[in-house]
Amino acid sequence: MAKIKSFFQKIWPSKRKWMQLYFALLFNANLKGFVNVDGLFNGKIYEGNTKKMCVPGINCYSCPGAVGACPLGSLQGAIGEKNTLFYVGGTLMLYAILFGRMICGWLCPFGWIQELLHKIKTPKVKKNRITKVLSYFKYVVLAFFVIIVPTMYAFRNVPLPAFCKYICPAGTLEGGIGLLSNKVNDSYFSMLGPLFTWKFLLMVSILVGCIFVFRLFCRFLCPLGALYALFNRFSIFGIKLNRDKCVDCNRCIAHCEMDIRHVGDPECISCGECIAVCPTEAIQWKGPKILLPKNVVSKDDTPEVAKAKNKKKLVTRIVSTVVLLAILVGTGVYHWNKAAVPMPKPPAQQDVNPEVDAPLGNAVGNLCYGADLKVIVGTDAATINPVKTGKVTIINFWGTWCTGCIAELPYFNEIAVNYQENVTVVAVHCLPDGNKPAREFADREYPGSPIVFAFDYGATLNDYYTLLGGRGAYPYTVIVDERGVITHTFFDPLTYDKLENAILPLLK
Amino acid sequence: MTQNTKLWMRRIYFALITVALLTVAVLLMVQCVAIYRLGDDAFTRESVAAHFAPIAVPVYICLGLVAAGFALSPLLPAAPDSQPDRDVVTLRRLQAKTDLTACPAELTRTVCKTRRARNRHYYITLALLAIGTAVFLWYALDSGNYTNDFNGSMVNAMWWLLPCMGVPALYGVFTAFFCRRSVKKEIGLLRTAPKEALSPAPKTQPKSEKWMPFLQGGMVAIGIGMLVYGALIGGADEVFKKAAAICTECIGLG
Repeated sequence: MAKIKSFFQKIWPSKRKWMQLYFALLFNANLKGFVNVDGLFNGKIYEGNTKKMCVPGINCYSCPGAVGACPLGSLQGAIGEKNTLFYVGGTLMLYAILFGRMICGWLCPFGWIQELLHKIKTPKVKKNRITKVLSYFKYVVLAFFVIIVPTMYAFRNVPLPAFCKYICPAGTLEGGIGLLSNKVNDSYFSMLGPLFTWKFLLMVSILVGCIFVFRLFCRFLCPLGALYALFNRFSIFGIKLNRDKCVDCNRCIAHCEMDIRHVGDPECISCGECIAVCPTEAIQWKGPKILLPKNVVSKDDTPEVAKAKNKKKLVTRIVSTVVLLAILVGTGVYHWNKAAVPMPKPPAQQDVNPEVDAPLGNAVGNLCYGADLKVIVGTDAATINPVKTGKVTIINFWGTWCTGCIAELPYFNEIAVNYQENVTVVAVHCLPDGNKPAREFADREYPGSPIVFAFDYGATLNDYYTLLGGRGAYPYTVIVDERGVITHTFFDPLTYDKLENAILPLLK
Repeated sequence: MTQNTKLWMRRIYFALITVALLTVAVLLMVQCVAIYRLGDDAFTRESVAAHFAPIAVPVYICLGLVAAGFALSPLLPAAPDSQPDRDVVTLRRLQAKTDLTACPAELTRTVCKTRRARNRHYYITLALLAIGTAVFLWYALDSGNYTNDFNGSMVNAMWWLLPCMGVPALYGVFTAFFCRRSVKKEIGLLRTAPKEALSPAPKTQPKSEKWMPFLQGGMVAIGIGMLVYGALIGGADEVFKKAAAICTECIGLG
């Protein structure tokens, strides 16, 4: 019996593991994003207002469950935009100065996944001088992929979140595979290619590496950890070493699996595992006194005092557990009950072509919904209805923030120039980006182009996009023949050949 | 069951699970590349299912082994030197208190030779890492390597990461094993040092950190100021836009 009890005591998760699970659930509280029930829950990513806030750890905002924005993705998107840079920079600075790398140890969902993988019983690669040197590599990743490359491309007016795009295994796991695993997102398979193959290989390597090497991604690659590490010494919460009590026995360093030189240095994730091994109780939690635990049982306490402290500790633990669970359940219920965004109503006037025997809809073969979209640049008319151009029409939904959209626009321009007589290209700008950035972009990059740049309609400026089957991912392209029937839908960035192959049969 | 039997069980289990995990990882990667090599639009739910179905058996074996590992954990004792940095810490302590100049000349020479050999591998690894990083950055930052197929060009650049980081990583693994033996050897040597060569290690003096609350307060104030100003000029809406309307290329889907 004692052996069984000791076995369960050994495998029972620590307080920190429970907190990691808690925050993983809290940051991914949109549980209905993972399921698809008769069209009620549509496996789409969350589009509520909580996404205006960055969560402290790495948690991809493309994950169907994510209810907050990823700080790294937001930071890369913010480079080159003054207003966003202030907002994201301020948020990150607050997180960093409050918690430092304690976020990595207690709040980061991807850190939790790595620790779980490391629990698998295999031979482990211990820390050594090489891993200590490799721990500086994350600063190279931070500088190159998060700052230098996005800044270089921001000067060329191309948004490029290089870390998210080429490295981030959390994005591939939570966003990529999270979306692809839902059957309603089957259309996304068409866009998979070399980039996804690279990221999948990298993700598998990192996840398998985490089984053998403790927190491989955090220690060597994570730019968010590198950013927080810069503030770790100054953070308000965390752990600290009381030098007066320390006898330099180095048991803490020997016990720690991170590449620390001393407790509380930039590599320390304040997990607190070393507190128990310190023989002189020199390692303590740091923070404002009012928030620190007051009932820590010391070795010097008498059994009566220790018992009283343990009793108080139990009460505190029960109260805090109830409060935390209430917050989690409340968040989950709020997001679960939040009404699904209704399908936007099509504009009232729908002149159906009597020669075509097909229903109005957004699937291939359906008659395409029409709408009078406000023109920004490209024609003298104030509005354009993409299904009434009398030509083959390519409707491309894009945004100035979207790398793929901007990369494919030159091909649309070439098609518009080469097939000016028979094809109309309508580039529909979506979301509350305002008129100004899209107009400036079109004037600067495509002056005199035959592409008609227009705005989406509706309160959030993406109603036409949703009506034509958009699923929250950009770019999205719909090709309509001259009768107004949908012939192709593309969810991936297109090339000239692919576009030409799609329109040539329609021209014949 | 004797301790020796337990250690042998542990070794056999570790060998099995390592092989199983690496096999699954390699199969996953190979099958993903196989689908990619089929050409455009090869990725469909059906093709992925068809290619990944044969991996099911190794995956089940792997999961079985993982479960068995947890269930048999009392029979799989930790290795005697399971603490991650025990040897290095011991060595550091011995180095701090041993005065090599007071040791016999032969011992000093052997210790220095061991250290030099260890440092040589260590510096070669660092040099390889620096060269790999430089080559990768040179290729990735050279705009001449980017064709009109921007996405393809960047992915090509990323493939350079494999040799650039793989070579130093492999050498690093070799160095790690070498260093482990070398550290043990040096510990053994230093333990043979005569008593007159030993002195107590100097204690690190605590630094005054009276300025810390002011710095923390100032940084919190700056953070709040930036956050509020950023939100007032529309930063939150921009973050929302990118978080709610995903750019599929930006999350690596394609």
